[in-house]
Amino acid sequence: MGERSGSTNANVVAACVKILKDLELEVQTATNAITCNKLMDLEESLWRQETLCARLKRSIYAIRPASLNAEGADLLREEASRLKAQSQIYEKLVSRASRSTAILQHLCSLYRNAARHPGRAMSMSISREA
Amino acid sequence: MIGLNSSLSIATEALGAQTAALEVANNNIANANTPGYSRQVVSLSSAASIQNGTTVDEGVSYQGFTSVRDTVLDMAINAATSDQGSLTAQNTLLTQINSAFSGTTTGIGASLSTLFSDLSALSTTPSDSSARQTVLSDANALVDAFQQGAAALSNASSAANQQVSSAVAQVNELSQQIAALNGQIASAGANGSDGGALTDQRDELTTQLAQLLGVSTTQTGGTPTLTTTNGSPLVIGDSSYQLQVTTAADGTTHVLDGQGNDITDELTGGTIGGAITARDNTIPALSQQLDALASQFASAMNNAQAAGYDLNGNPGAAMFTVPATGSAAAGITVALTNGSQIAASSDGSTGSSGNVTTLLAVQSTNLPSAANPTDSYANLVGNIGFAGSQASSGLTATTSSLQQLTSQQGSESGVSIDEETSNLIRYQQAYTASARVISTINDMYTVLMNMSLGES
Amino acid sequence: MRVDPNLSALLNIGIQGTEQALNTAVQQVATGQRVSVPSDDPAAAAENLQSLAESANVDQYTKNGDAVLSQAQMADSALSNVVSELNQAITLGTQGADGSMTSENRAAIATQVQSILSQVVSQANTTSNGVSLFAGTAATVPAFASDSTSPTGYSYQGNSGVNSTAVGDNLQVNVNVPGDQIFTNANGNVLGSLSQLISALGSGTSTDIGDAVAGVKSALTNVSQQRVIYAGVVNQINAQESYLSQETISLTSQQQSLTGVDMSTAVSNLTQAQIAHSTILAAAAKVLPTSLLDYLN
Repeated sequence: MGERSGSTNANVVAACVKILKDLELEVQTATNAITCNKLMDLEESLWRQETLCARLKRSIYAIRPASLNAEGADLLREEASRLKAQSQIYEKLVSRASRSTAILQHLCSLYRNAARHPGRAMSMSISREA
Repeated sequence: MIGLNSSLSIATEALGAQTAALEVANNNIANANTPGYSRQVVSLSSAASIQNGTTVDEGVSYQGFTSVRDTVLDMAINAATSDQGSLTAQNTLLTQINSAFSGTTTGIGASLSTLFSDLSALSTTPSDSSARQTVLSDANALVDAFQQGAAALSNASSAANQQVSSAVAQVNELSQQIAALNGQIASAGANGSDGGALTDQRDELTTQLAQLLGVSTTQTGGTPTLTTTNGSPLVIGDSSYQLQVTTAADGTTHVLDGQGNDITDELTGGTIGGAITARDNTIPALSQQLDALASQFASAMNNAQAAGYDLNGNPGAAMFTVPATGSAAAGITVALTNGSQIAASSDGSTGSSGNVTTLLAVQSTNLPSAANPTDSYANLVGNIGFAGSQASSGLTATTSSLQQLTSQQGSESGVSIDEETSNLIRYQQAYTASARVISTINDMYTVLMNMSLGES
Repeated sequence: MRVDPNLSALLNIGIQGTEQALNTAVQQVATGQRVSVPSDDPAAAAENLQSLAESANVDQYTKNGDAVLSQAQMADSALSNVVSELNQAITLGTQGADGSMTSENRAAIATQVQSILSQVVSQANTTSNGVSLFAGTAATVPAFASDSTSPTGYSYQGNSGVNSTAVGDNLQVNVNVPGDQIFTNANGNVLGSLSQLISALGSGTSTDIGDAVAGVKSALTNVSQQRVIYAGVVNQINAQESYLSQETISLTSQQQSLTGVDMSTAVSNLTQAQIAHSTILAAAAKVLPTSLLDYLN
């Protein structure tokens, strides 16, 4: 019984690890896309990321804890850590870029309002720093 | 396999590049209304390197900016700008002149009519001293009108001289600024960037210069060169060549190149070219016509005077004096001092108006210039009007074609706030999606880390 | 090709254009003038100057005609007096010729005729603004002055000069008739015949007196003929003046069509310019602030 569970678990674990690795790669791709200002690449990567996330969820819940051995667990934790690390970088980048974009959008509306109402003083100003 | 440290350094560099990219976008938007600002595009490329036999992404670096501009279009805009500058200068001067010659109840034409009308009135009362005095006053009024006409033309010439002087000073300042920028651009080039904002500035200054004077721009062996259209140097690389102005013997302002050669006749385009064209071609032609009218009319009247006798029975003396040199219209004066000197009589008797017909005949007899005085003046006014309308319609046409060219330039390198805005929105949407993914990853991480081991 | 981001600059130029058209239209309605500087329409400006010069000439022709009329009327009025005086002399002379007249009677009649002669000379010396009407072109002297050496007692101071004046581009009329032509004409000498009559009444026979009276009649005929000249001039001038007033109207109308603006056209242009200007302002208001953010919001 143990061997059978272990091999079944081994396949499931391997599959999960593969997804984790793919997701890590995808997050890296997305990180590059943001820094290269490649919006299209980012959008495509996001689509793939979302697909991978869905598969990851299913994959994780397919792992029966009762049949998880130490080796499998180690593999999963290691891969998860690496994904987490990459994701943290990604998160920091997205958060910063998002703030900058918000500021730029704000600037856009200021310039447009200035064209529409040339005399009016700019009462709104950028209060947050980039 | 990428270690965490490596990832962090990539991240740091990525954040730096992202900041630069956003700064560029910020710059673009802020300069949307700056004339001459070319949209800047951040070119980012991945720097790949080989490590341990495996190609590793070592993050990204940005390679500076590339300005979007079309050199040929820029040259066309400069040429059109020169035309506009030239026609604007000419239009200003000709508008002044047209206004001075626009009188119908005043001016030379009206004064001629009044003189002849009052001479004709003498035919029924030739010995009436107040009627004679009126004729003398009319002659003085006509002389004033001639002098005012001549003054209007010479004032326009003076204004042209002013325009040339002041424009040359501006040209000199701009060429110094352009030379300095060329120096900075060359340095930037040595550092690997194309000095986008500096090149924009230099090109904008070049266009400003083109408005003042027609220019040619070339890259001679990599050195940016700016000359007048006839080839006199203004800027070569980071050196500028200053023009000078001098006053010629005839009072006109001449332009010398850096070596003291008089290049006035060779300059075309821009305020300077336009002012010189007006001053040296258009206005002298008009002055010649006016002076011919004044001197030929004076001769004809003087001859008619000589054919008759004044109130005292003496042969008629000359009515007008015209200077031997210089402008006849500016210098014409009335030579008679008393109405009694008008030679109305044909036989010396005091009450005869027999010579009035001869005096009046001057109005309808062709002068040597092949038209009678009234028609000669009408022709002159027609010529003034024609020159004015040519300059004004030329200016309208040039302004319109300059608009089209600038519009083309604008759509290539201008910045659209809408476009920038729509990009920003898409980014935000992508970031929101990213945040969702990140959140999912975090949750999965927690689950995976806390997975309890089963029994093996 | 991207949409021109310099749209606002183009709109600005468009707005300036319609504003300029509007200002021009307002000015034209206010002044009634389409051409105010030569560059507005060079050919029209030149033609207009020529037309104005013609108008000035026409005005002067009319004034000249009026001056001649005035002098002619004065002259004619003097001659009319001379005619009645000559008629009186004829009546007196005819009485004197009658055989029943005594020399005292004749002497009395002679005195009356002498008085008529003075009156006639006085008429002959009529002046207008200090200038003799009948002295030819000798303006400063009376036509006839006392001259004891002259058989008539008077001699002609004037000359035979005739002034003429223009009342049309190719039409001159004479301003005056010389006094000798009227009063001492060989065909009928007014002064001579009156003197002759006075002499005949003094010492002549009936026949002599009769001859003298016949001389006065010839003089009267001559004067009447001279009056016809004046009448002719008056007619000529009146006819010319009606032509001149036509000319004035047609020249004025020519000038108006060259440089003036038809008021109904001007008003219609103004309305259109106002509409064009409002339209472009409205378009600018619509286009400028339209932006994606608005749309998305």
